[in-house]
Amino acid sequence: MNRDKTSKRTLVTGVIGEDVHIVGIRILEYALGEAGFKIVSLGSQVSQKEFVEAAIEVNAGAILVSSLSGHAETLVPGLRDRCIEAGLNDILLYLGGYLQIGETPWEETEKKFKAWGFNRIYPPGTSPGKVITDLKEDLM
Amino acid sequence: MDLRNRKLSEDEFFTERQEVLAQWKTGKEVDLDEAIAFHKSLPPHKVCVPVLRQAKAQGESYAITGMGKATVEEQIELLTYIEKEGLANYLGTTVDSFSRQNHYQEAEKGIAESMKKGRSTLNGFPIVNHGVTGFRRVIEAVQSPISMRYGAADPRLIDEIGYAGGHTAGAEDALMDFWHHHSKVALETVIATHRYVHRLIGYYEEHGVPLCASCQGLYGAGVPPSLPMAAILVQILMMAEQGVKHIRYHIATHGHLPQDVATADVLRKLAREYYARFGYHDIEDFLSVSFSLVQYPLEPGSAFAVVFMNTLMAHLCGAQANDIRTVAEAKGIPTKEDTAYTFRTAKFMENLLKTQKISVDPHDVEAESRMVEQEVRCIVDKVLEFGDGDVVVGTIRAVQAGVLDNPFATNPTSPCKVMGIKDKGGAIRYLNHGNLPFTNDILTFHKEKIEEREKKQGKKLDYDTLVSDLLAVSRGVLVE
Repeated sequence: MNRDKTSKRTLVTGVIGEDVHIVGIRILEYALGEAGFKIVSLGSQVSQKEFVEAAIEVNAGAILVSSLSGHAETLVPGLRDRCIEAGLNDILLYLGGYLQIGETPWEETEKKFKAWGFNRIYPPGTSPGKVITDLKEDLM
Repeated sequence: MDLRNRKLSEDEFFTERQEVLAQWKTGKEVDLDEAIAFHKSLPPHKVCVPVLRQAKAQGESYAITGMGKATVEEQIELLTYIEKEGLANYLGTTVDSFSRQNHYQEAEKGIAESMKKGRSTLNGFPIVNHGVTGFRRVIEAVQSPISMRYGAADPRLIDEIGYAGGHTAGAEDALMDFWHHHSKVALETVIATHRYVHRLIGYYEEHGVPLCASCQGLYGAGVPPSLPMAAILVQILMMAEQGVKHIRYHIATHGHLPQDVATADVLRKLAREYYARFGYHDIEDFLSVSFSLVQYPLEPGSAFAVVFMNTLMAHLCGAQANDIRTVAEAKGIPTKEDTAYTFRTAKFMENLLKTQKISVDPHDVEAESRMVEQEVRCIVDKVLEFGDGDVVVGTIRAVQAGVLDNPFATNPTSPCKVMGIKDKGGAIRYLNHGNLPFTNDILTFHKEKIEEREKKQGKKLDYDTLVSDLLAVSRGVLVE
């Protein structure tokens, strides 16, 4: 798929699942917008299908998924496969938030979600600056 | 859909009502005539309006918070415990998340599971599933009034059953429910379902039953006060049109006391002015206050200090209801002991404060009042202009255009262009005013306030400042 530099800087964002917690992703969207990215925000209660459809429509460079319900283990597996099936072979998938209920060491959580095809996993408290730096590096 | 600000006729209301009551099997239990007679049999100490009126007369504020268990028995145990051990004067029913999404089948499973496990597996009380008869057992077991606490895009059946069961206050707030509680429902639909519940309240009022509606506009954390205030003012005109007579305004406070007190003062003043302008002359209003944090402290000393501050703010703002999160908010769903400790803390503070007149520097309050009043007038007058004088038409257009905006809306159709940030003293200002229709004077004021903090901190305010502002209070400072 041909991606020009402009479309690569288009990002699809949203909160996956039934959850309506929005403050974190809204601040991240604001920071990304200030840093020159084009944001296509899907709000909250977003399904995998909606993320993929939006990414196709806007030819996005990355999908940024937020999850604060603690249910990410059931909500996010399969998103990478859906992207590949839709022809989005090289799209970046980032995930952040309260991903699991209980106290799991972060390294284990990161390893598990990376195995499901996510390029970057962020714990609570990550500065938007870190995400901007990573995106610039990964989208080069 | 004819969406203008006009009262639903009885025919329209009763036609829609058939569809509402058919949404779940307990709907058929609701008999409005019987419910009205039941309400008239309730003693005044079990009715929200006289209890709030008493608080107002005595200059007192009563603690309120969310309380909800899966079964009737557990709910009675919780509420009677809070009354006895927490010395509560005012109780609440928090409705579970399944019911808020109208998933009554799921709530039914939650009740069965809770009974099997012997502990609540729902995060609130499923009013619809327990029906009128279920809630009647709760109201009969307590000595205080009970208010409903929840948000739903479609609150119609919950309210039909909740009010018929014996609740005497509710929380039907269309903009709040559109922006925060469901991301996929159109504003027109949410306004229509809320018009119905306000008409239902109006019907009770016409038959001599006082019910108290409430309105907060949007979650206020990190948002300058003029925006939620404008969202309250446009909605109370919709409520009044449907016959609501008692309204509790709910404000989020941030801890900058002059701005918090100014918010309360200006809201009461402008509400009276807009009621008068549209010919609603018999509205009785009340106020509740909550200290609005994005993150609540986990450590107990800090958690109790937040309850103390909330109580002080309620007192300074002249609120009748001190809307607090329990000291266990950061941990999850509170135990009955957590809730009782929290109520006792608030009661202790309130008892010490209630006979004393304390005030925040009137010059500071006046300065904040002048600014917030100008801002609110700009927004509300633009909304009315958008609707050629009709507040419903105007509100729908204004939300699309971002003239009524919300930085933290869940609904992707909202522009979400505004952003608030603290100034060096801790008052919330507009970092970005998006499409809010402000005058140059207002914009200059906010710009200067932000520049003062930038000068003090020696750096541009950016997203890291936004994050630090939202977390500051839980770390024990007003502004870092």
